[in-house]
Amino acid sequence: MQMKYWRILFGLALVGSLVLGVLGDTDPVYIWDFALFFALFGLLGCLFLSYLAKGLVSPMLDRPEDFYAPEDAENDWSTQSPAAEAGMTVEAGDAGDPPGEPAGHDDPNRGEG
Amino acid sequence: MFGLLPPGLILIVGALLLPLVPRAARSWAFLVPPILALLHLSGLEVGTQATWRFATFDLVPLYVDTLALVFGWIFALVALVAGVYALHIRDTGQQVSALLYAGSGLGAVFAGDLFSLVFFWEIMAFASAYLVWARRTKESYASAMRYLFVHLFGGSLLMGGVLWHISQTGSIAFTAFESNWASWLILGGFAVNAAVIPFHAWIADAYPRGTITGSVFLSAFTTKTAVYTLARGFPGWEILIWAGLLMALWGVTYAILSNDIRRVLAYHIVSQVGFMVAGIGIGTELALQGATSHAYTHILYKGLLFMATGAVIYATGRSKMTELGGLMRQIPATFWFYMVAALSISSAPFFSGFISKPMTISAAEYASTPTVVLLLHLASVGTFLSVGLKLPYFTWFGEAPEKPVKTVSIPWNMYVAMGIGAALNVILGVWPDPLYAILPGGVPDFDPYELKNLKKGFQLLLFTALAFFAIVAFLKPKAKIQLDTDYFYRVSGDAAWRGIVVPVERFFKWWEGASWQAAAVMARVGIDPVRWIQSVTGQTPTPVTAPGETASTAFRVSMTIMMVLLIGVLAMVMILLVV
Repeated sequence: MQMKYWRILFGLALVGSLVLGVLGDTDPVYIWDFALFFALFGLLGCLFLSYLAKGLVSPMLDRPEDFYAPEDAENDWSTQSPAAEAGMTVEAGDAGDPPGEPAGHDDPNRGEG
Repeated sequence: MFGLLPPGLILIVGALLLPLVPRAARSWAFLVPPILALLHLSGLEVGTQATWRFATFDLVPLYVDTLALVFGWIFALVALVAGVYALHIRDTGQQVSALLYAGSGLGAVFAGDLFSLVFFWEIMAFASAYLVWARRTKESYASAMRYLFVHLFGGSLLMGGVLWHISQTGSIAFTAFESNWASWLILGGFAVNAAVIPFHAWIADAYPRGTITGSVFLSAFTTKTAVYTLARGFPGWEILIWAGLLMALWGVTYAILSNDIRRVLAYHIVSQVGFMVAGIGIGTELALQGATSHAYTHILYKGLLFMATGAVIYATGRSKMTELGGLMRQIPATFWFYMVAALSISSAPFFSGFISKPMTISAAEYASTPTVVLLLHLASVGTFLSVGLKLPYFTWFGEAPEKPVKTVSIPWNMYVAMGIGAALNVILGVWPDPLYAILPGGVPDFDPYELKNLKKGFQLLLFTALAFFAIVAFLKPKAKIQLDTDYFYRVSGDAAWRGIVVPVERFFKWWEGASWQAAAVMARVGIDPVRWIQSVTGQTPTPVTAPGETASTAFRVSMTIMMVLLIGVLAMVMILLVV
């Protein structure tokens, strides 16, 4: 399905959820009983948590991936993934195609570990 | 069929017999013990109890009530599904430890006394550590050691508390605890396994470093066994409400920042277990039913999340969002399986989480403060933001790295296991009655498909998604890690190694060298003391009359005795100084 149809569908769902909000019980007891409370809460909650994490926590607590040990940044999956075993995760500037057909996922004698 | 045999022992005996099965059939044989355990569970009735005499104690390794049965069913079921997911592996160590781990988890939930509980608890720690070790990389070795130390610390708290409790009460029965020092120690032991802040960092350290199949098992048993023990031992302890809230929010905040896809999920275990811990703290019947049913659904969707992300790692050899992207063209099925689990964890209507998490929040509405309710909703927003939106967006849709990600084909059994997991999540989401029927306290007074719950579910998720798409560039992952409470033991552990172990090691090395040199000097002196004295004082050596003979025998003997006495006195002085 094309992206514009997904967008239309998403817009309809948003409107539908708002319509759903005004249906039913109209006698609020708590703040969350108001018809559109959770629409606003979802929107603002997402913005708040994003700011809390990326704006406040991240600058204080972010460290390089090898902060504790160099091997922590290696991210070696060669014992687990045939793709990694075949060198298909080599970073940009490598020799191009992976060396040979990746094997292992169909090799009955190969363990994960 | 198995009489009064504890179901966990079926898996443990199966683990011990598994290496005897021919290698080619071992993966299939792995499935037999969980199937037998499920059959055994179907015949166990509430109230069944087995008592084994051990020394002066009556152990109760099998105690069946509704709480134990709910956990027992899901543990055996997930062991079976994870076994299907692992059908392609040929690593006997992993297979044995996975069965031991599942068996000990199952053993712990049916333990009716504290000794049996501690016994299974400790097996669980060692068996699960192996599933991290089994990846066989330098980082996984180190991570598994840290994991083991943290759990041994928790196990020690538990054992200390249990012994203290028994000395006070004389009872080894595992029932709800009174508030005293022994109970607080036991609570500390449970809190380590439940990943309560600040004892939670092991989970984000170890689970992303486990093997692909091992982490599926890891996601199911340790924390949920702890939830079970908290529900049995500490219902209604108010501190657990705040501990749970802190977990729920801490977990989602770190999950938003994490780059490794399985670290995102690991932090979400902290967050989701937070909902359960808060429910146990609230302590009403509905809250406990919410916590129990959420543990059940959590095992289903978290297992599926780890399966789908494991499949991504298998296919690409990468696990970081900064190195992934654009996978929708290559492995679309994994995306759809992942999204079933992601919508379940986010409590989307018609998925499994929707029948359990809102039950806990609803219980909070009845029995707790509005602050608690709103903070739980905020944690739900964070869950959908990080697991339901950010992770799938930057893995399957985001910009691919400089070079497109290449993939290999994923084994059929992984797809089958993910399919079973997805089906269970959807079936339970639309038809919760079978789970509700077995909850402690009977069918809960809660209908997830009430209009107000649907309203909450749809509005919360859809408008969270709207905000996410508006700020998606701001949320782009970074190739960084975030400091957490493990900083304190990782850095202090390193400092302790450099400050205490290394100097002591150096001192003993120096002392050993000095001892050998002293022995060499003594040997030279002892052979010919006269010549040695003459060489030191610069006198002309006495002519040797015969080979080996240098002085009178009496002089040699007296000198040697004197040296021996001198060494003896020195040794005594050293001993006295040390003592």
